[in-house]
Amino acid sequence: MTHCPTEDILLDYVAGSLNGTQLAEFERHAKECSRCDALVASQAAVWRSLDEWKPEPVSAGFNRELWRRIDAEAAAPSWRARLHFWKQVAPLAAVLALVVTGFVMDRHSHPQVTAPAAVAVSATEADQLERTLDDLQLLEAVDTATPAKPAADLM
Amino acid sequence: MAEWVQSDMEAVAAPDLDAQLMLRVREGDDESFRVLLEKHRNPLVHFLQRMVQDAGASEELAQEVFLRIYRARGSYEPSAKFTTWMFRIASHLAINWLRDERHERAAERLDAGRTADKGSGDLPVRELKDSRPLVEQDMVHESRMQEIRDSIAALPAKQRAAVLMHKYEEMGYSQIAQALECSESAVKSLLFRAYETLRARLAHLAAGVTP
Repeated sequence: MTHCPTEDILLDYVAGSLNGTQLAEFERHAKECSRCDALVASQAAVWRSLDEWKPEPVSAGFNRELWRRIDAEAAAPSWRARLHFWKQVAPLAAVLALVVTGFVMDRHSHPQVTAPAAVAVSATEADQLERTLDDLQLLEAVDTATPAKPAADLM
Repeated sequence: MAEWVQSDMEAVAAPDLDAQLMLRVREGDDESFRVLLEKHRNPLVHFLQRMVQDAGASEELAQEVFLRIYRARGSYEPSAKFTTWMFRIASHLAINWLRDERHERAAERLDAGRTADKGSGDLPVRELKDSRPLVEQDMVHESRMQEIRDSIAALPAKQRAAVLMHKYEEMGYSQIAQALECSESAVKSLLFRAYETLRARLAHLAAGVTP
């Protein structure tokens, strides 16, 4: 490797994930390149520094406190439990509301489609018309059968 | 995205031991949760200690992580590695905590400024008991540690989380990407920038030079 490595190789070096061959090649190059040599030295300092940073021990009562919180939640179903219930129910309710709304709006926008009602109305009208015609025929028959009285009888 | 799907499918095909334990927790086996707690408590608390740099807060956050895992047991599906899921919750909580803490600190600084204006000459003074070399070494060591902590604290929250997961939890790009909910290339970029900043701030420690 005569040129400085690509950014990907540098990143993998910095992240410590170069394979053996790549690492050896990069380190060989770094010995001849002051820029990469400086990067190797400063990155080594970062890794050493981070290795020195030891965490503090975890409190002895950590588990006890966690189980106390878990038991407290189990004993008193909180708003979280109710929220969980509504979270599960809400999508179903929303879908149901959408279906009902769609059905109602559809009925309002197409009133002529209500076929059974329309049929019922026309049947009633036909019956009435037929009865009226029968009545008229009956009246006509009665009229022709009765002899006309003289005007004097009426006085 | 395709990488995420692939790794998720691998996780589904061969669920890790933690995922198997979590499936038992789902069935109501609290003993399996105890096993998970014992196994992951220390790495999780230590990650959070380094993230928020506040011992009390880090334990509270770790408890919140385990509590959320326990609460979610009923709907648990092993769609990713258990630790990835755990660190995703932890990073999310820690990043939120840091954001809120930054606001609180800003408010405290304002209050402190007002108090100082009123005049207070009774500030506690830390006294050194003696000046033996051992104490001096301790002070030098503590100063180095403070510098390392400050360097990490100076990183933006996501870069900080990426470095800590990469360095101390030995997580790969893909796992960090899933935990931080971003792409692998974004993780590479976060790590590169973070290590660049750390090199600039910590390089002098290699030669034992004080800045």
